[in-house]
Amino acid sequence: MNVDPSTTSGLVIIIFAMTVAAYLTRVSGFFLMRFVAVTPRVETWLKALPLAIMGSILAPIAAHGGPAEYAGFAATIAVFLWRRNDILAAFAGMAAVALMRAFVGV
Amino acid sequence: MSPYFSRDGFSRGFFEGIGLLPGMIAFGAVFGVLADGVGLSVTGAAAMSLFVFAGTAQLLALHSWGAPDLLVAVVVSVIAMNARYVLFGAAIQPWMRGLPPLIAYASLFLMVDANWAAGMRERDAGRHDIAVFVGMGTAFMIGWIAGTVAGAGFGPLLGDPRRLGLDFFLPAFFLSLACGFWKGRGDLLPFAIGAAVALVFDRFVGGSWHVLAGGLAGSLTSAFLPAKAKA
Repeated sequence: MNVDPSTTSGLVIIIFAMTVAAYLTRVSGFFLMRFVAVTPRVETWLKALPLAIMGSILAPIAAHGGPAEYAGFAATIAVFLWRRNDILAAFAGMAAVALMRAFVGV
Repeated sequence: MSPYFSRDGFSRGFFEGIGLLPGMIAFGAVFGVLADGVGLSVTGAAAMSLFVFAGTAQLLALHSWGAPDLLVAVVVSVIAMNARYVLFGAAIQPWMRGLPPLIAYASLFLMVDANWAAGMRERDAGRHDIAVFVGMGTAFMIGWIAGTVAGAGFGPLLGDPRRLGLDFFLPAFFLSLACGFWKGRGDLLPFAIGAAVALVFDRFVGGSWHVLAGGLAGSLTSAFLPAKAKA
């Protein structure tokens, strides 16, 4: 099917298709869990999921990163341990990255 | 305890979301600039941000603009980039269990990385106010559209968002949440297996499949390992 995004009707079709796809990814896992009994094993799985996902998101960023990103990670952990505040820690990480890029140029 | 909605929770989530807004607006502006670059109108870009509400998926879709099989390409872009949300939805389901389906499915429309993680944090803390999740998602939606409109409208005036470290905000937020989740040595296993599998997928597959693959590998290893090996 050929769709021309420079026409209004073409763009509406494109955005509609993307909307349906995006919404389905958001609800399908939620929907499927209705059919899963929460046994202790499933509970362990769901509890481990956030950290497994966080490790999966962070590892490639660390692998592609340089000194600025490492400084950012270090600053984030340090401020989190110091203040126990996740937003503040994230801002500290961002600031460290910005400073490294500005003054060290990495 | 069954989940509920409170006005207090909504404002708590909303104002926490406001703290993340600079990064969201900058990201939206990047999308807006690129959307303008492929010839999308401000209205078209804003409509896509409103309905699709998925930054990396929208950016990837712009890459295929002009391709002959555009419709297939944009759908594949969205599924590849949002595949992690299938896991997010599974993980958040027990927290929302008992909510009227209409409210649950409407709330999930607003699910992005940060408010999902905030929801997981609330569940971890024994709090069941789903309005925190929705309030934060609402703040993001506002920032995302504001950024898109600003980027598509005044794109060329914006400097490089990398200079301000704005691209690092979400990774940093995830790292601090991971620190908060960390309870002991047993948590190393899902985190490390997830990280290792993600690196392999990131290297050889691309898209955001590494999040799905790493998330599944790390959490399933944890679930199927004998309990004594985890102590």
